[in-house]
Amino acid sequence: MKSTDDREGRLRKLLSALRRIQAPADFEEQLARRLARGRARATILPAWLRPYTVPGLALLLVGAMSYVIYLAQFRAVDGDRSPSGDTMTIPPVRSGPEKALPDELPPSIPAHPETQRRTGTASRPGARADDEMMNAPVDIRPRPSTVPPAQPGKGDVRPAEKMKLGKSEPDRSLMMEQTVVDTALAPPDSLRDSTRIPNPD
Amino acid sequence: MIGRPTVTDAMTDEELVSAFTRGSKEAYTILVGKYKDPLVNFACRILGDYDGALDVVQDTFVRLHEKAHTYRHVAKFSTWIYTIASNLARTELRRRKWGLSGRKSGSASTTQGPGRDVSDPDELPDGRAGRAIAAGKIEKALNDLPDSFREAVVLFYIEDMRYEDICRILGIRMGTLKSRLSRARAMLEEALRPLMESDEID
Repeated sequence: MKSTDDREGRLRKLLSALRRIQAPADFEEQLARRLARGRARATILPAWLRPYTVPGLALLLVGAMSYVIYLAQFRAVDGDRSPSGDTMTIPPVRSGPEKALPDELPPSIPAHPETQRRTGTASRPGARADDEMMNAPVDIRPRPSTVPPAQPGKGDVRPAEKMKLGKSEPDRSLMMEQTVVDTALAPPDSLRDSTRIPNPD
Repeated sequence: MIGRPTVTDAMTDEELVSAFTRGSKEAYTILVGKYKDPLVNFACRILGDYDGALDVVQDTFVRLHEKAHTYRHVAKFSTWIYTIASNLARTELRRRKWGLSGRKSGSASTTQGPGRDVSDPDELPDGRAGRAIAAGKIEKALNDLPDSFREAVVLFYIEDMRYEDICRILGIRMGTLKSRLSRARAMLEEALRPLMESDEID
């Protein structure tokens, strides 16, 4: 059996017997042509920038398209309208003589609730009440109980009556609210009638 | 007055690169002349295709032209240029694997250079047909090796490089290289058993 060194030597001899492949005679000319081509390309676009060419152009195209769409949708309608301007800005409440509001807004953009209330163009019945409820400030402080402790002979005093009894001017808006709440909580007449127990006599 | 450096053939590779980075075209020409044949041989053995090998070697020299200033003297120039060629050859092999390259690897065109087909007995120095057949078998066995094994075998047995340089070129550890060489040797011995046992090679 032949030793490892012997086998290694034989293999080396076999592989080194392979003929060495050489470059063609015009290798330098081909290389010079290639270098000249490379230089010509480099003058148009530097080598380090070439990999970014296609993604960069694609991004530019997308950006240009987005800008064109933005212009077509929002700028062309009326001078200075943008989506952010209409949804985010709340017009200040003016105390002086009111300026005329624009007669009509595009249907896609709902007018501010204040504008709707003034012009009476609420989008649906009950929208004004909803808007008021939504816009009303919420007082989270714990309130003292408005119901006085029951006194013998006097009974409960309802807020409306309490206001009537008080010396100060009753707040009409509070009274109106109370009326609205009472009306809302009262069962309809039909229900009242159906639940009435018929008199057996 | 600072002029272009004087370039001679006696300069080392590192000195030539240094001269080229300072603007000497002659230094570049000398480097190309010195390394074109070994690199073509190496790339051809890796790719198994002469035209593909020429492309890879030309790309290597284009890289040298563009990136010579990035060469640092931590490694020998030969190691550096072989690393570039090896990386480009591997990229080409990967492209072929994914069908992105127009060329196909194959043992048939391995040695097709300008008038250098080894399988032609008349082209051989001694003109013996047996030798040509043997060479064909060796080439086939070499091409049948996995790519990573073939690289190691070509650099170690054909280019006669040291272990350390091969590790640098292939970017692998010494243990990995020795393992690859050992397994490649076993595969070659298996494929070339009749040739290994004949006395003709002694």
